[in-house]
Amino acid sequence: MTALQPRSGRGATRTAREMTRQHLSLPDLLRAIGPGVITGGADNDPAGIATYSIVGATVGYSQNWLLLISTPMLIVIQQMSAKVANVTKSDLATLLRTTFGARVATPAVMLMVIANVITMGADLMAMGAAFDLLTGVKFIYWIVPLAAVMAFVTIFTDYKVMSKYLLWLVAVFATYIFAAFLARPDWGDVLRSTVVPRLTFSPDYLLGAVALLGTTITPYLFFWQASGEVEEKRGVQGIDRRNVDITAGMIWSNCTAFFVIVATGAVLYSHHSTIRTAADAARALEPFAGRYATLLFAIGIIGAGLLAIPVLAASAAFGVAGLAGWRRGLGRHAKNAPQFYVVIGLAFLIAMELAISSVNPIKALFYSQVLDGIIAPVLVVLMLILTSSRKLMGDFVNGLPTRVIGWAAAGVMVLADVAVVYQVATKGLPN
Amino acid sequence: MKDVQERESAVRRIKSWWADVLAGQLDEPHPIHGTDVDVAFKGGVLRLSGELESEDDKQSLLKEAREYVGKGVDEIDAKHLIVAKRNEKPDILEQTLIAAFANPAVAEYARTYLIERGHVEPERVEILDPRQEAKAHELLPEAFGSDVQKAFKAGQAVLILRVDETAAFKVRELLDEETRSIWTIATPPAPRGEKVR
Repeated sequence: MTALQPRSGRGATRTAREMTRQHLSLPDLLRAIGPGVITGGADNDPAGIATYSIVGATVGYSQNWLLLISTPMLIVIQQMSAKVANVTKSDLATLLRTTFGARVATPAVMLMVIANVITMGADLMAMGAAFDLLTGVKFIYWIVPLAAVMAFVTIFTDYKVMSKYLLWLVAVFATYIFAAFLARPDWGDVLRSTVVPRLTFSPDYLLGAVALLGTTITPYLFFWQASGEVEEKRGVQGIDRRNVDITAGMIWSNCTAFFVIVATGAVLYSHHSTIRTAADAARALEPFAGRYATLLFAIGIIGAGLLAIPVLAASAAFGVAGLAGWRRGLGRHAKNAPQFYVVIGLAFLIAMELAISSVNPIKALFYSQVLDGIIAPVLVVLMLILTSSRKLMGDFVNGLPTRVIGWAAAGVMVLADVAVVYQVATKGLPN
Repeated sequence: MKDVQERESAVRRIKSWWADVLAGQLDEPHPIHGTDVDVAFKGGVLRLSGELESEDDKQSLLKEAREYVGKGVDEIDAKHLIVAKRNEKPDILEQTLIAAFANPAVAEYARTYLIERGHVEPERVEILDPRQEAKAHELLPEAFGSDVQKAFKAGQAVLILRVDETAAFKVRELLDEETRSIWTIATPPAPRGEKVR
């Protein structure tokens, strides 16, 4: 790794970006990988797994190309979230408030908060359904104890330490890779669907596309990434290492998603089966796990929920606290940041209420991601404006490739949103 | 003279904070390390936890605590008191933080708070009121002129701090969360000593 050098002598004309650029060797690259994988793991929350499963079961592999093009978009957007925090030393909500004013920042942050709470509710239902699969006790009875335990863990213990262990539970989803191979899909078809875009103008297809984009390029991750940088106080000197970490985490996240779609496509779509319950979704793991598919799926969903729900609650709290200028941070004791932790507690309460009053966990999971897909482009555009501002970013302003990929992400998401609104308005919601 | 007074005042506040802790009042932030340190005191065992910026900070806190061993404290447990791991090197880049306050007196309070309690060692600090607009233009990049101008038009004062980039996170956090500035913004990191553009 090249050392960072003080500005003197021949280096005097170098920009701040040049002075912080690092050439990383292979061991450096490997060492750089860490927190980004946790963020990537949190991206595949129960709602994400349910969405990918529904997409695979409903439209087969035909949206794999969306997953492929969304990978660089996700990487670029997460890198922008990290960079803007490291340059401005601020989390996203505070930055939106100080740059665009409360009139823009408040609705933008509140949209994210609402989507987060709805996703938390859906994730709680999914975890309840997973316990239902394991024990036979109806999912609804699991929701209150699960919410209470997770709220306690998030507020009173060190979530960051715990998340390192939870990640191993989410590794269960790696079994989708084996399941996908053992299900013997038509790999030619899989490959064609991945590299050749295929568009179908039907509500099913378009809702699936919006949900897939929403669960991949998901708003709470932008806030989580930026707040994480502020909490860790990393600064601009480590930007290259952060980019490596983020890239690895997001590729891992989308690889998992790809194999979930392939496995469910091969097992369910090819047999014209649909997903109405968690048990249906678990069937995609049967080629690998046989009669243990349900057990494996349930463990994965519980791990994903334990990892993602605190992230969703904390992202909401970071957003609200940033708007209000309150003390914030999961590293702080509850007594030192009371309002921040009250918002976390409230998020859990409302999510619990939503989970109890909903009737179909799978539908709730899917539509929460459609909502994310509708909200995400607004935040992507705001982020692009922030990170393309030379005033704010100085030498760290977005380069052309970042701007092109970022605007392409916003464009694709807006087009998908407009198409889905038109289709649903004219043809109604699919069953 | 002012330095001596500030040091004496800090020592007094630290002693008073420890007296509160030993009396069971554990809610107040430490006068120097603020909310970075958590303290619990039960059955003669003093438990210190949290993440401090440097080994020096940790040792100075432990030194403070050890003074009370045998005077109410039987044992100190600092297993969970850690020093933040930082790979960033100082003296490479610098950053300027600008914060608006209702008036110069409030800005002065914030300045004192940052330096006394926040351990901040700025390379330059200025408090400017609406009569000093020209000086603001000298100190800040042109793009930030309009922000300062807006604050001055509203009759506010601005606190301008130039700090090492590695300290800028801490300073911004204190300005945003502890001093409740009306707003805080940061200029982008720039090579040390670079002329304001």
